[in-house]
Amino acid sequence: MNARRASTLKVRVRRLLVILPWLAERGSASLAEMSERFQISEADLVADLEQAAMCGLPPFLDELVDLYIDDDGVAHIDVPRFFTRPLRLTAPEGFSLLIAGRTALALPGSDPNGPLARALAKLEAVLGSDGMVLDLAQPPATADLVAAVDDLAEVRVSYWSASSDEMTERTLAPRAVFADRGRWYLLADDDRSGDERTFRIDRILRCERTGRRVEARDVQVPSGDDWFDDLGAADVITLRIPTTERWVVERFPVRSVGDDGDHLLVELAVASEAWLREVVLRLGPHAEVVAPDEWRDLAARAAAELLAARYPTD
Amino acid sequence: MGPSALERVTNLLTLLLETRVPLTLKQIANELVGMYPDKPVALRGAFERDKALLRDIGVPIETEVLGGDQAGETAYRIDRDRYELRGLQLDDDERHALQMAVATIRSETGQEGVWKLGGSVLPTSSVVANVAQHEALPVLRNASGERTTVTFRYRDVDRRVDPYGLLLREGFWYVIGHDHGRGEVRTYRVDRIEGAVGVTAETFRRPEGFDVRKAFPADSKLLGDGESGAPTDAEVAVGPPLAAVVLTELGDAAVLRRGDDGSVVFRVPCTNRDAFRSWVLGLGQHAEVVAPADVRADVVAWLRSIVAAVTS
Repeated sequence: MNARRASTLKVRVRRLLVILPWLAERGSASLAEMSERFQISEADLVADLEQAAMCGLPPFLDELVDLYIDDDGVAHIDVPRFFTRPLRLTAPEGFSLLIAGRTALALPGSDPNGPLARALAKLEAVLGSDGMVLDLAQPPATADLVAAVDDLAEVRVSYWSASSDEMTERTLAPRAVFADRGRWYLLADDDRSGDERTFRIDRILRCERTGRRVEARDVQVPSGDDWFDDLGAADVITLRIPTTERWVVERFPVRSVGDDGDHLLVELAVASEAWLREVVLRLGPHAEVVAPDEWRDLAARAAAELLAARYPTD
Repeated sequence: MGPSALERVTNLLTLLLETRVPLTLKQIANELVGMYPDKPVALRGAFERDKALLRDIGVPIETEVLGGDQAGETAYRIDRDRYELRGLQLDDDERHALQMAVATIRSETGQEGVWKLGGSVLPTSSVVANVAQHEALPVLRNASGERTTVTFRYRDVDRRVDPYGLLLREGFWYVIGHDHGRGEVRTYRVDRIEGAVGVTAETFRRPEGFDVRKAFPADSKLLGDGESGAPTDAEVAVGPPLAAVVLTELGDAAVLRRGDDGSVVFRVPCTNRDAFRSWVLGLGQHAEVVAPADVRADVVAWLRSIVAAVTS
C-alpha cells in the first residue's frame, strides 16, 4: 500500500467515526447538510456510508450499520451500539481545543465568565489541569482596531514604516487583526499604496476613526507559513545558514530550498532594502546572503554603517 | 472484488470493541473471514498496518501477552470506556464558543475535535492568532496534566523533568519544570528539544500555589535559556521618531532620561542577550546601547563579526 492511499484511508476512517455517532443521534439527515458540515463531497459521503453499511461481523448480523438513502437525498441510518459515541479526543485534538479556547479568551472583548470560559472549564476537567499559560500581550491599539474591523470603520493612523524608515500618515480600511510569531498585525486597505497591506500594530503610534464607513470585503489572513510585511513582497533572497544555526531565521517566514549537509539554503521574501538591512543585522554572521548578487555584501555594509554611526570610538 | 480497506478496518475496530476477551491475530483472522490475506507474513503485515492506523487516529488498542496453551502469543482488544468520548457534556452556547475559538487559531486538528464534540465547520473570524505547533506540545501538556515526569534531550544533555507548566510567549513555547539532574526549576524552549519527548511511569507533585506566570519572567529579554542567569538591565538610547514607538512598547516606567532632540534613554532588560540584541538591532540606526560596557561591547562584537564574515 502506498503512502497516499494509506493516508486517504486514515482520513476516511477518522471521518466515518465522526459521522456515524452524529447520524446515529439524529436517525436521518440530508446528504447536502452532511456534506457541508463535514466538508466532504456528497459522492464521497455516499461511498463511505455504503461501505460502512457493508461492515459487520458474521455472528451478529443484526448489528450491521443499516443504511437507506431516499430519493430526496436523505440518509436514514441505524447504527450499532459500538459507534453511537464519538471516539475520545486524541492528545493533539485536546491540545488544539485548549489552546484555541485559551487564545480566544485572551483576545480583546472576550468574556471571562461567558460560555467559552465554561466550555474550557469542562475541557480541563476531562483533560487535566496543566499549568499552561498563553501570553498574547497586545499593543494598546489592538482592541480599538478589532472593534474598527467589526464596525467597518475607517481609521487614520501614524505608522512607523521599517521599509521607508520614516513615520507615515495613512488612512486605512481595517480588514482583520492577527497575531503571528508573537507580534500583532493589522491587515488593511491602504490609501498610500492603494493596496492591501499588513501593519505591525506595535508600530502604530496614533489611531483614530475618521467617521467614514468602509464597504465590507473578504480577505485572506496569512497563515504562519505565508509571507507578509507592511509593504508587501517585492523580492526574494537566498540565505545560506549552518544547519546548527537554523534558529536564527525562525522569527521569519522562510522557505527551505535545499541543504548541502552542513548548510541550509532558505528563501526569504523581502519587502524593501531598509527592512532587509534590519533583518541581516539581527541574523548575524552565520547567515550569508548568496543571491541576488547586489545584496551579498548588504549585511557588511549595514553593520559597518551602524558601527560608524553609533559606535565610532569603540 | 474483495472487501475494501475501509470495510476491513471498520470490521477490525468493531470486533475488538465487541470482544470481552483479548483476541490473538489468528482468532482475529478467523472472525474476519476473507478480509485478511491467508499467508502468515502477509497477514501480519496487513494487520500491523491497520493497527497502526487505528492507533494513529486515537483508538486505544490494548495488548496482552497470553499464558497457558497460548503462551507467548499477543492478544488485542479495545476497552470501550477508554475508546469513547465521555464526561464532556457541552451546552449549545459552549460548543459554539469553542468552535469560534478554534476558528481564531484555524487549526485542522482543532476542527477534528470540534466535530467529535458535535460542532460544525469553522466560521471565519476577524481576529486570527497563528499559534506555533510542535509535536512535543500535546505530550508535554498531557504529562503536565497527569503530573508525569518526562525525559528529553536539550543542549546535548539528557534531562529528566517534572513539567510544571507550559508558556506561549512572543510566539515561542516554553516548558518550565524541575530538572532532576540540575536539582532546580528550569525553562526550556520546546522547539529546541532534540528528538522525541519520553513519558515515564514516575509521577510528581506540583509545588503548592505554583504560578507559571510568576516563574517565567514577563519579558523574553529576561528569559534564561535552560540555564539560570541574574537579571541585568541595559540603557538604550532611541532617537526620534522611534522613541515614541518604543515608549508605547516599554511604558513610562522604562524611561531613564529624555534628550532635547526628542531622543529617550530607556532601561531595557537584557538577561537573554540573543533576544535583547535582536530587539536593539531591529531599531537599526535609531538605537544605541549606552551601558553597561559589556553589553555594549557584545553588540559591537556582533556587528564586527558580520563585517568580518562577509569580507573574508
